[in-house]
Amino acid sequence: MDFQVRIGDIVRAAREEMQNPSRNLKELVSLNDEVSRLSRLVPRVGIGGFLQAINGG
Amino acid sequence: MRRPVRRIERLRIFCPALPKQHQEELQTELRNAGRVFANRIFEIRNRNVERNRAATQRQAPASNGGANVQPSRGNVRPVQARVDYKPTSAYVEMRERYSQKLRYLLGLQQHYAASGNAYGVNRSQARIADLEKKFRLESIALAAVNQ
Repeated sequence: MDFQVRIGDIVRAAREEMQNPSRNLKELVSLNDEVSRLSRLVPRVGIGGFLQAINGG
Repeated sequence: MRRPVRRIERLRIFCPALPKQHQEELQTELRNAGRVFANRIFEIRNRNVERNRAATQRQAPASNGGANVQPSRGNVRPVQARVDYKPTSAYVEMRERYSQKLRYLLGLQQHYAASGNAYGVNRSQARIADLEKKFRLESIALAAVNQ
């Protein structure tokens, strides 16, 4: 999935969770892990996500 | 075969990284989202701990000090208290030792969640899980010795 689209999904999920807390612990832990993974990827992603695409990140 | 790191470095020449400002914006968005999730995780875990504590206190009569129900995580079905069971002093000491560590780790997790350190929150969660596993194993070992 496109890197910035994924970040958009995460940010939207965080806003939803703030307004209407409905996710269970497992979902939240998984989202939190995804945030950590994406944070590590940010400096490696080239313009347009090209580098990420070819490296399968 | 070439190492993947080399390949990434070679490709970086042809594919510049995102501008610094853009990177920082993305990191900020992610940090804020991580903070929301970490706070919610902490809230749920705390609520579960409180619920389990309340369930333990409800089940265990004051006569045996509430010591016949082991602490557990998440939504658990209350276990019927055994009236004939007397916990040994070794078990009580062990339980106290573990609950002290658990309190410390929960505090640590709260601190990390407040400061938005998702890595710290994950680490302390892992340590809590590890502690609970050790507690269960030690309880079993102690029960086996006492039989």
